[in-house]
Amino acid sequence: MIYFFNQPDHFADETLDALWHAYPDFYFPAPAGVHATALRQYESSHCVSIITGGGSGHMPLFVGYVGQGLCAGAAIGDVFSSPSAQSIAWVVQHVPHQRGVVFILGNYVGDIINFQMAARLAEEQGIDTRMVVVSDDLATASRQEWTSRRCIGGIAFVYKTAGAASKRGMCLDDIVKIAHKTNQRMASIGVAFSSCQLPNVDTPVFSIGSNEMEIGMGIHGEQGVRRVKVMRSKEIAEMMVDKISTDLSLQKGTRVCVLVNGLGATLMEELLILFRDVQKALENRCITIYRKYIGNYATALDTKGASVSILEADDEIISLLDEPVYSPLLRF
Amino acid sequence: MSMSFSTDDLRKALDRIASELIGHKDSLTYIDSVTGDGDLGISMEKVAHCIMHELQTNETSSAAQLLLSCARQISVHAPSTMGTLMSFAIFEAAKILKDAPAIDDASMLLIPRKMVEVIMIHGRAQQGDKTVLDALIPYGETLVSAYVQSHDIGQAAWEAACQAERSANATKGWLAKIGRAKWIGERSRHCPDGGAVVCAIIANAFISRQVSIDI
Repeated sequence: MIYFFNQPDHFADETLDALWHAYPDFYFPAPAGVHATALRQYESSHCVSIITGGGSGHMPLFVGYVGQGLCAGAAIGDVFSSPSAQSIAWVVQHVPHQRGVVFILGNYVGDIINFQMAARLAEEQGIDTRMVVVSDDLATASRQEWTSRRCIGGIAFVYKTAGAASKRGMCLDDIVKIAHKTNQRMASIGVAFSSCQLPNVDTPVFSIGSNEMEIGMGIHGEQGVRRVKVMRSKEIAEMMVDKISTDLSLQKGTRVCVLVNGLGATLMEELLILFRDVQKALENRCITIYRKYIGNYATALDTKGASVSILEADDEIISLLDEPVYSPLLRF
Repeated sequence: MSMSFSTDDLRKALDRIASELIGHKDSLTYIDSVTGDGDLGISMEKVAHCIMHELQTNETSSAAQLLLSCARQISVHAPSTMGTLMSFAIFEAAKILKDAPAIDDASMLLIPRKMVEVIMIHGRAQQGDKTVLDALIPYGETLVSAYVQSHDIGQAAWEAACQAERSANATKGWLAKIGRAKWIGERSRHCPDGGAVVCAIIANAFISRQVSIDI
């Protein structure tokens, strides 16, 4: 259940308004009717801007990734709904776009359609755009069909590498290459012990017994791909690492980056325990963790669960991940 | 017999459609909670409010202008997957009507086909994927075949609406091949497709027929 709101139908509007009140010097507010925000002071007008967007209810996705070294702006829709093309177009107008704009979004039909429409509007004004659709959830398609997977927490890696590439002044197509490379070299899987409840709906998206859990959970409170008896953290971590390392064909000695992501109602203690168990499962396979990220990076309202994303790193990716970033809404 | 559908008739039909979408909010929410992320009911309620807003504030006598305004409102205020596809589809209908003072039979027959085309392009879906197309395509085909038999667009729309209802209900038991329902796989098989159900609701509201959905 969500308690801190005033009007259930305006949850997304209230969130944006609150963001502007909390960080007025950092975020540029959009006019009424536009659900979006942009950085007040972007690094440089000579950088390619990265824009993202998607439904509300995923904090810190998407507006939380608007920050220095990350995205220049984001458009959001209502809870779990796509942003409108008009909102995306507003962001395009309010970020530096002389060198073009890269849209980074999750693999959801509604988001893709609206970003395509916004791209068309931008092109009419002579603004060059590219689109990177992130697809990391291995539970939803095989490795052979990885581009049809849905997007979950791994999108954070794409923001980080693409954002660093933008900060370094790389061109539109090179940033897209970096983003695609990151997307291709990672995989994620989620589990959950409860669903979430939309602010204007009376019941959770689905119900589940106290001794059950969902495997293959996404970030919209929907059912996963399989329901099983509750497992303990070590078993869950082993299952997740087994699936991801098989999917990515990880070899002994590989360097990886790991993101343990809370789905909204999971304690930091739980995420730490899950991380430790993931680390052990990787060590047992002689795989080294180069960078770790533990916390809420892509949530689904108040879902009790977590996802693990693993990115197979190389020197280029590691160098980009090490670029400093700043957003008031996340530690990254 | 040939029937001219005036802008006033369109207003009444849109009003019925909006009411029915709101009336089915809970069942659409339920279907989407099984097959997706649970927001279809809310999303269609927003579509309905966009339509109602235009009916109350837009006094145009042009059917095309009225539809264009509805499509714009929906694209801004209800940009979910289904809302956006509906917006594209309504834009197509408006393009066909252009400046015509009324909707003639030929336009009525053409509109569903053009809607199918635009949804296929933007939704990247085909018939059989368990989407809105699995009710909309049979609706359009029945509309044309029934009209060829009877030359009565009212009768044809009635038969097409019945077909849309049957087709939407028939998606129950299908395995989705696209979207969130595909990711959920077998676990969404027992529910009809939410988009197909929306199509059946609209088709039946259009002719004032009570729709029956088998959830």
